Amino acid sequence: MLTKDVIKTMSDETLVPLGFVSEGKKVRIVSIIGGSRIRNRIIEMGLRKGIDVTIIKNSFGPVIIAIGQTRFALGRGISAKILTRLINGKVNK
Amino acid sequence: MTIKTKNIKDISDGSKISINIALIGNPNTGKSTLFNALTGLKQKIGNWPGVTVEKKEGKRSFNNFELSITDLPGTYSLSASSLDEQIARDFIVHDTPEIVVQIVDASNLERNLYLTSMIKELGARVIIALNMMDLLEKDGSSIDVQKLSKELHIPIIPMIANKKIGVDDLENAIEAVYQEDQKPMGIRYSKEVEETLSKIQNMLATIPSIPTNFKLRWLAIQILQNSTEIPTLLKRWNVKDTVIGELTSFGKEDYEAEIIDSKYEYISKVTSKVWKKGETKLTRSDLIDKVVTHKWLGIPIFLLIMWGSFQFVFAISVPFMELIDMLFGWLAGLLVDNIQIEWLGSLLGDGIVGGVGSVLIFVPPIFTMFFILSILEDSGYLARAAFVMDKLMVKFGLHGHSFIPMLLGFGCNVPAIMSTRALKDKKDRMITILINPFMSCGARMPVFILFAGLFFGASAGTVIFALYVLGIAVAILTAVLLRKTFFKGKSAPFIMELPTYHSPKLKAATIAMWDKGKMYLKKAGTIILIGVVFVWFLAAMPFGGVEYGGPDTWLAAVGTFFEPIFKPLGFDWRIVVALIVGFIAKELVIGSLGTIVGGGESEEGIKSAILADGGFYALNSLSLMVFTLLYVPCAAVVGVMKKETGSWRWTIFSIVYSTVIAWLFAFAVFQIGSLMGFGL
Ligand SMILES: Nc1nc2c(ncn2[C@@H]2O[C@H](COP(=O)(O)OP(=O)(O)OP(=O)(O)O)[C@@H](O)[C@H]2O)c(=O)[nH]1
Ligand SMILES: [Mg+2]
Repeated sequence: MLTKDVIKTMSDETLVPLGFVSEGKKVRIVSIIGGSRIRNRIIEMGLRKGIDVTIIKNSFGPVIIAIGQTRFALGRGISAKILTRLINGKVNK
Repeated sequence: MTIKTKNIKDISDGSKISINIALIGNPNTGKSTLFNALTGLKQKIGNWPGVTVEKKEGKRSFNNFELSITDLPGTYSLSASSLDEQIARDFIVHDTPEIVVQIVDASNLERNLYLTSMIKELGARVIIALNMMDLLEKDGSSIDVQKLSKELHIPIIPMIANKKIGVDDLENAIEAVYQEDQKPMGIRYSKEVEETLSKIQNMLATIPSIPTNFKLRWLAIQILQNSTEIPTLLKRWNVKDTVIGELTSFGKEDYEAEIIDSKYEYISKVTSKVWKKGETKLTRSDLIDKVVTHKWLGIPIFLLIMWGSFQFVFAISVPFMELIDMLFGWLAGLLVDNIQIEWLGSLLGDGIVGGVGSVLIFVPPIFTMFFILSILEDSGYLARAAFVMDKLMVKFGLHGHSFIPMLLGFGCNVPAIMSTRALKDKKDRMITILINPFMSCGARMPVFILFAGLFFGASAGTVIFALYVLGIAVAILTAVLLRKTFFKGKSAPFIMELPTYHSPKLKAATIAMWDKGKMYLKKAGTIILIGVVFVWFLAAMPFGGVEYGGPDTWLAAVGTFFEPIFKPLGFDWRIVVALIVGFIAKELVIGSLGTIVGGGESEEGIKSAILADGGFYALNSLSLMVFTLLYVPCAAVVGVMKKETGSWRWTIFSIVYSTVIAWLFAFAVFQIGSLMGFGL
């Protein structure tokens, strides 16, 4: 579903779907696209706009991300729908 | 109803005040651990989200209070996107417990408080059990508990539930909270939302049939965000269709997002004052994950763990089994020889000791298996297995989450099928339920251990491992088939929290092993006992004259009637009988064979009896193992299948399908084996 909001964000080059961020990078969630039902459930799990996420693993199969001490595994499909922006490109180790 | 402290102290006639308490919280935060600490019961605990999928009640009394405490499945919100979450939501909404204790993971404060905000909207009195305080400081975070409590108007009890730290404080808080009303949280929505909410609320206020314990504001919010269950709820209260239509027309999808945002906004504002966030650091868990979920190593490591487990089970239990086998063989002989009344001696010797005894021999491997499974569940690896398998499972039309019920099936298919309640998509769930019986449960293991041990010597462990893998393969093929036919569509997105690894605790694993193993012992003393006595009876009838277990008995009549169907699989009538009785419970396959073949003719147990018999050899025992692996696990699974699918059609489908599959595979094994010269 391409809402106005999404199209606006898509034209901004610095936005990267979570599934394309490489390991060790830290990003901030900017928006979540997709049907409202799924989107709302993800937000309720704590993955929401403005939250900082560190990519722990992204090579094969699902992506592992860290929010504080919490770790999530996100399937390929869903991690393509979470749009993020790099935070100062610093590798966080 | 409010009671003042003075009044409570005055009650001296011993009458207790009973309070209903619900334990709710995000998955894997320690609800069941706290429940066990409070009630002394033994709810299952595991280090992965979705362990508890059914509510469970327990009691605790202190001072003048009798608490009735309910442990609930974990949930992120009250939106109920899966069946287990719905069970938690319905309990909180409809059973209106007097106090809701929310277990909050201290290291994930914001998200946990989101759930709090929903519970508070219901008008519930809440106590927060701030659990896992021991893990809080790990990344340098800290929480000003007193200040947070003031901000939220909710008592907060810091706890370490698995060490029972904080339980007394929780009791005191329950006593205090019971006596006073709580202020609501200070969440305000946008002007538009608030105005619409009061419009809806005014309309609701004119409907007398809405129970008084329902907070109208909560109802209004549900209506506003288009909650799917609202129309049903209103109908239940006999609200007119026109009114329902009018009410639901206020709902808009966008409102839900806005309401969620406002809640989070408020929570962030509060937590920013009291919560010092730590830095996200690479932890030991992350390093383990890099290896365990590695692109190339992930699946081999999983298979290695499985293979190692079976080798371990086998190696540890063989000597104990020999011992028990000898003991029962000796006992059976003793009974048959020394009891004067011939039929009684045979009943006790052949039937009970021969039958139940052959089942009890397998206590060591079954207990070891449960022990290993508990360790896997407690370590946190289970969620990783789901992760590793995700890529593969997606190819087969499911996703990683469905692999957890599959693995649990190695213990027992009944709880495994129930654990599918955590799946979000109905079709995913149906498929995952229907393929579960192919995952080989503990009760099938005796058949494998006995026959693989007798006829495959040193490679017995590998044969057993291969059987388990065959079970997985058939399950997966079935999933593909079902996805392509009856359950077309895409699976729900895969999102799962990965718990931090714990080093498994031997004591906890031993307790868990005993809890599950107890069921096996109990079954041996009940259903298996009845089953083998029944088999013994048929094997001894008609009365007088016939050779026990011989070709002229009633049992043989039944067996030979069905024998033609099973002849191409290499089974004689005795195996046929054992398989038929095994429909009730898989232990009865061995139990019946023990009764029929391993009777108390000599001072030898079932093993030597089978070896001496001549009717069993490598190839037909392999096809017997394959058949046992694949056909209906037991009557209990049929029951839970009906309950969880809600459909007799699918239950019957499962019975027929698995039996046909079992026959085909056993047929292939036996015929191909015979062609290759492995026959008798
Ligand atoms: N470090 C630490 N671990 C805890 C604490 N309380 C519970 N645990 C562990 O956390 C894990 C989850 O515990 P459970 O009681 O099964 O959690 P639950 O909330 O019932 O989980 P679900 O039923 O899946 O929602 C287990 O491994 C517990 O041993 C605690 O205070 N500190
Ligand atoms: Mg639980």
